Amino acid sequence: MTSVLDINNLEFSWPNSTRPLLKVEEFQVSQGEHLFLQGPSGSGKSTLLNIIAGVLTPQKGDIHLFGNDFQAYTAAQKDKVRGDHMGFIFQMFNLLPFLSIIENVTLPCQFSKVKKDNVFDKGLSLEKEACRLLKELDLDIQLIGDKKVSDLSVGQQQRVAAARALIGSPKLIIADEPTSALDADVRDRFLQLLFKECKTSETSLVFVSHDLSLGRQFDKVLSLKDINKASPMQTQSAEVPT
Amino acid sequence: MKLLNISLKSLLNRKGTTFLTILSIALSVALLLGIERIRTGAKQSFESTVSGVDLIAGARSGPINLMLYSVFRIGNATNNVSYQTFKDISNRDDVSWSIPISLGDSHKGYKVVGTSLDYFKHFKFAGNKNLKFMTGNEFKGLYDVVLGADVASQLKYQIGDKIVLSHGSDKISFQDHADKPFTVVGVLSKTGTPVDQSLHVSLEAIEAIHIGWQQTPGDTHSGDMHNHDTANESTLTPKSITAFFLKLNSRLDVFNVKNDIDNYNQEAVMAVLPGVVLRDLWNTIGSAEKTLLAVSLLVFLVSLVSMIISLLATLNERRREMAIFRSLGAQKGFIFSVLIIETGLLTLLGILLGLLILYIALFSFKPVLESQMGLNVNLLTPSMNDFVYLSVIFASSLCVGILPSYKAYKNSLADGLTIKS
Ligand SMILES: Nc1ncnc2c1ncn2[C@@H]1O[C@H](COP(=O)(O)OP(=O)(O)OP(=O)(O)O)[C@@H](O)[C@H]1O
Ligand SMILES: [Mg+2]
Repeated sequence: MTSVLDINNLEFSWPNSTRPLLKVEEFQVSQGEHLFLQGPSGSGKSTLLNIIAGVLTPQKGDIHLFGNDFQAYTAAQKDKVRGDHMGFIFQMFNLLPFLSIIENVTLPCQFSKVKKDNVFDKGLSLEKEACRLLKELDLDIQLIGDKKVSDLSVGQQQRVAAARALIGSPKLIIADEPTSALDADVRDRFLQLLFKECKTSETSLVFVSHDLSLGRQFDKVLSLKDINKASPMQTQSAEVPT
Repeated sequence: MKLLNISLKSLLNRKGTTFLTILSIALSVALLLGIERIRTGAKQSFESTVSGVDLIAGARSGPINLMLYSVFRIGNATNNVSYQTFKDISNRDDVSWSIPISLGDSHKGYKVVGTSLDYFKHFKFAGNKNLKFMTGNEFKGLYDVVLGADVASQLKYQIGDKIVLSHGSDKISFQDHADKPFTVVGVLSKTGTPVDQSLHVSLEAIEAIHIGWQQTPGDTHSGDMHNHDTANESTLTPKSITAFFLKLNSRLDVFNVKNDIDNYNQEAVMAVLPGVVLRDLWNTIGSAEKTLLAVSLLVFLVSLVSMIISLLATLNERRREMAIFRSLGAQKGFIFSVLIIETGLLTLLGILLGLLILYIALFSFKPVLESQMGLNVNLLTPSMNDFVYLSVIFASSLCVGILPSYKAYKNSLADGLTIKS
C-alpha cells in the first residue's frame, strides 16, 4: 500500500515554550487506512493535525504528503494541497451559517478545481453529489429541504460537515473529535457512514479523539503517548522547585 | 457561487452590525458634507450680500471702506456725494437703474437708510432674490418707514407703530428727532444680509428730519420749522447722499463706467465692483470660514477613525469565517477579495445613505436656513470638495480593508483548524 502521509523525526515546540511539545520519530498513514489517534486533552493531538494540514510548521522533520516533500512548499502551495486533497471535520464552528446546506457542502469545490473535476468525473453535478453524500450520511435533502445550516441540529450539522469533507474524493480526511457532541447511538451510526464513504473513494482517515472506546471500529489505533517521545507535560510541571 | 454572492450573504447574515457600520459611515459622511455646505454657504451668502448691482459709488476713500458703510452699514462715510453728482451719473445712457443710499441716522442702534423706491424694486441679494415684504408695503408718505426683518422682530414693531429716529449711530443719541415720529408701513422678509438690520425711509424724509437741525437748539424760530407741515412744504430735494448703487445696461461697460466715475472731475468720487470687494473683505475677515474649515477637517478625521473602528470591529467578527475558508483551501486572493469587497460595499452604502440623510436634512431645513440664517446658496448641488472628501473616504476604507485582510489571512492560518471560541 502506498503511504499518503509519512512523517519522520518531527519536532515541534510552540514559540514561547522552551520544551518541545511533539517529538515524533515515525508516523505513517497508508492509502485507504482508517487511523485512530488517541491522547488526553492537551497532549498535542490538534497540534499534530495542524502540522499535517500545513497550518503549523515544525522546527524539524520531514513530512511527505502524497509523495511530495510538504516542508518545502510555500504557504500558497500548502493552501492548494490542502484545498485539493484534504478534507476536514471539526467538532465545532465549521460550517458557514449564512450558506445553505448544499452551498456549505459544495464550498470546497469552489476553491479547488481538482475536487470539482473529481465530482464531474463521476458524471454528477456538484449539487447532485452533495445530495448523494448527504443521503448516504442519512440526511435527505428532499425531506428536510435545503435550509440554512444554522437551522439544523448539532448532529445534522456534523453530517453536513462530513459531507463537505468527503466531496471531491480527497485523499486524506482529517477529523478532530467530530463526534464529541453526539450521543453514542448517533455517533456509531455516523462513524459507520463515514467509513463507508471513505471506502468507496479509497480515502484515508485520521481520526483524533480522547475517547478510546471509539477505536474498535478503526483499522489501526495509535496513542499519541506512544509515538511522541517528548517528555509529557505532567513530568515537566512536577519539576517545579520546592 | 460567486465571490460577491458569498460576501453579500455573509453581510446579510450580520444585518445588525452591518447596518450599524453603514449608519456610522453615513452619519459621518452627512455631518462632514453638511458642515461643508454651511461653510461654503456662509461664504457664498456673504459674497452675494448685494447682487444684481454692478457698481457701488461714493466719496473717494478706500474700496473696503466704501463697501463697509454702504452695504454693511459699518462705520461712517468720510464724505458725502452731492445729489447732483448722483443725478448726473444715474442719467448716463449706459446706466439701467440706480439706488441712492443716505446714512447717518439710527433707531435704537439700528441704521436708518434713506433711499428711493428703486431700492425695493431692484435691490437683490443671494444671487437673484428680490426684497419681499413680510407685511405692509413700501413707504409712500414722508414719515413712513419700512423695517428690516430683525429690526421688527427684535423691537417687536408692527405696522402702524410710531417710532422716533435719532441722529448719529449710537444707541443713546443726544439728538432725537422726537418731533417727527415715523409710522411703520412695511416689514421686509428675512434676507440674511444687513438689510435685516436697517430701517428704510425716503431721501426726502432724511432731509425733512434734518431741517433746522443745524440751527442751534433752543432757537425759537427752529421750533416752528420742526412741524410736519413746514417740512412737507419745504424744498425736500436732498442736497447730498452717502453712496449709490448702479446697474448698467451691459455688464461689459462696468470698467468703462467705473473709470468715468473715478475720474469724475466735479467731485472726488469713486466706484467699486461689489463682488470683488466682498471677496477681498471675506478673505480678510473670513476667520469664521477658516474655523469652519478646521471643524470640517476635524470632523473628517473623526469620521475616518470611527469608520475604521467599525470596519475593524466587523472584520474581527469574520475571523472564524476566514479560518473556515482557509481550511477549505481558500487562497490569499480570495480572503483579500472577500474582505475588500465587503469594506468597499459597506463604505459605498454608507456614503449613499449619508448623501440621502444629508439631502433629506437639507431639504427639510432649507426654509429655516434661508429665513433664519440667510444661508440659501446652492445647498443642493454637490461641490468639487464633496467629491474629494468622498473619494478620500472610499480610498481609505479600501486601505482599511486591506490591513485587517492581511491580519485575517495571517490569523486564520494560526487559528487554523483549531479555532477555539
Ligand atoms: N496557539 C498556541 N500557542 C501556544 N501553545 C499552544 C497553542 N495551542 C495549543 N497550545 C498548547 O499545546 C498543547 C497541546 O494543545 P492541543 O490543542 O494540540 O491539545 P489536544 O491534544 O488537541 O487537546 P484536546 O483533546 O483538549 O483538544 C497544550 O498544552 C496547549 O497549551
Ligand atoms: Mg484538540
